Amino acid sequence: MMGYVTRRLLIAVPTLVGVAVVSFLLMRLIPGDPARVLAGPDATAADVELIRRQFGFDKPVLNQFLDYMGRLATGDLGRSARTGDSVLAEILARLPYTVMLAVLATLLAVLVGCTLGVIAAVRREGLADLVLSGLSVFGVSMPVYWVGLLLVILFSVNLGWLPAAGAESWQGYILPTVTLSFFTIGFISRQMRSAMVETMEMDFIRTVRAKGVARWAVVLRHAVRNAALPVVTVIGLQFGQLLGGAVITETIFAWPGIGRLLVESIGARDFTTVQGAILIFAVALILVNLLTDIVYAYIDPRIRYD
Amino acid sequence: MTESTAPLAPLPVAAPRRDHLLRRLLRHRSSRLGLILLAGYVAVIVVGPLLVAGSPTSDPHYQNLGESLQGPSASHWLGTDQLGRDELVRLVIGARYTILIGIGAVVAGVLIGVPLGALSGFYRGWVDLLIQRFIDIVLAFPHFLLALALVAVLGPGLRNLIIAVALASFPRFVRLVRASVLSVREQPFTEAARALGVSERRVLWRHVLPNSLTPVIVQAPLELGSAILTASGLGFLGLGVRQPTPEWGTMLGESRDLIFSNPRLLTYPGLCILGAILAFNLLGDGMRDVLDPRLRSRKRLPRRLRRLSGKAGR
Repeated sequence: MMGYVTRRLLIAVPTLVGVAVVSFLLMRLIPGDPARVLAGPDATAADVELIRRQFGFDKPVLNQFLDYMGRLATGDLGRSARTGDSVLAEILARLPYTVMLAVLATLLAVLVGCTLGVIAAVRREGLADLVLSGLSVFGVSMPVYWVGLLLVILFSVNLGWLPAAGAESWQGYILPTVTLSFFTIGFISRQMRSAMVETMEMDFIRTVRAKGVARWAVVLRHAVRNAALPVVTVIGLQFGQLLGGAVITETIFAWPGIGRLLVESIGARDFTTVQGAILIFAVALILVNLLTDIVYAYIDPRIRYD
Repeated sequence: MTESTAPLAPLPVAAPRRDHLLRRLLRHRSSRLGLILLAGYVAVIVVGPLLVAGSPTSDPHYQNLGESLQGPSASHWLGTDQLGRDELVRLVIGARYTILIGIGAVVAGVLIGVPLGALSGFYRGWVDLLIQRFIDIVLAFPHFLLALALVAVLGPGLRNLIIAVALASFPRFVRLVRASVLSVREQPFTEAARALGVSERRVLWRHVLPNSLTPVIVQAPLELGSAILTASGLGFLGLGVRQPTPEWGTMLGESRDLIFSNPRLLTYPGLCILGAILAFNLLGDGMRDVLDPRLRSRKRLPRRLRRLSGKAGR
């Protein structure tokens, strides 16, 4: 197991470096003179010159790149053009809110998604399956922002039960969590259904049944535990989608997380913060995929030995 | 259909399926629904602009602040928005923007992704290694956030939106084509082409690639749905097309502040987007069932042929 974990960690290192390179190149994609763009439309020539020197745009690209990688290695993401604060500090201050939202949404999605998937598989071709399969297609087709806005219209505007924005109280967590989990519920329930259908047709299920085990026990004790395996991978696969959804969800619900920081920074043309936030999101995705790989290998020893 | 006339010699396993594709898709429950929905959207794109034309208010940019935020009426079937523009006209004209952005992004993604995947899978070795590590890195970024960052850097606008969505999604096509090319290049007909002295390059582009595209076709509708989702999400955040263009996601984003007073302005564009994505997802589901190469290679001959091949074997 240790060997496997080390191997996975080592594979992740070049990807991390590559992600840093791409985040550097993103800034170079700014059309025209990056200093001019960063300075904003009202800047004087002197301002532009100052920014050019401040960001090192006057140096050769290779030097800029080495500077950037050197700073990253020490954990320095630069300073925000908008507030002048350290980008890393700003991101760390908002990190807990985004992590909390992502974790809650994932938990909810796994719980609901797996349940719906199992029910659909057990009642295969029946009415429940038809309804649930239809619902799950809706789940993966509903744009996150529209789900969020509809929930606000229903629960905040019309019913007045839940706050439409903010993370001050626990009630404030409900709508963003449900919004963000919507897509993942649809995604997981589809995967769980097909995994369960496949498992239920396997020989060992017939053997268990032949032994006279109750039907619910066959499903819960034997089938679900085997069908849950691929679903672990699915959680990692859809996590990127979840992070993208988090940015939109945070914007809708005025959530004080990294996603809103990112959107605000784009509006303010604060590209250092944009770069830092994108980098953090990519690192988070790499880590989650690493984690799901390791968990998968832990649950299913066959993976470790190939 | 009659069995007596069926010659038992070579089984038409690779029989012309393409002309039956539409019929098979229409037989499948989900793709039938998807195709019907899509036909509706195509009708709106093609005929819609003619139907809403005729009066000054039928210009999607026509503003009349005196008539802003009106409810549905005989002259404005779905009411007006905050600038007094007719909502129905904007939705109808918006169909072409939203859907064409999706199609443009997928076409661009295919054009970048398919050649890369083909090279990667066919030549293997260091070409493969290089391309795959590159793809790993692009895939390490959350899809939507990469598109978001690209639009933020390139600036909003129709062209940049398409570029951003395409650049964020092309790696999936690379992976698909590579996997498919890897198996097709081992097929006997590839060897046959080589034995005839066909050059490597020609083997790849004329023999291997055309036979490796089924997964791309199967995936295309799902990618279209995903591209529309991404593009309209960027529009919602105010990073889509430029201001007066009536793209659905942008319309939703512009009406966000009206959620308490005029929720209907959020309902209509959202429904339009949902319908479009739903249509492509349903079509994609059906397409996968009908066309999936795994199902095709695995003894899924029609029952008639299966019986025949059984007889022929004996």
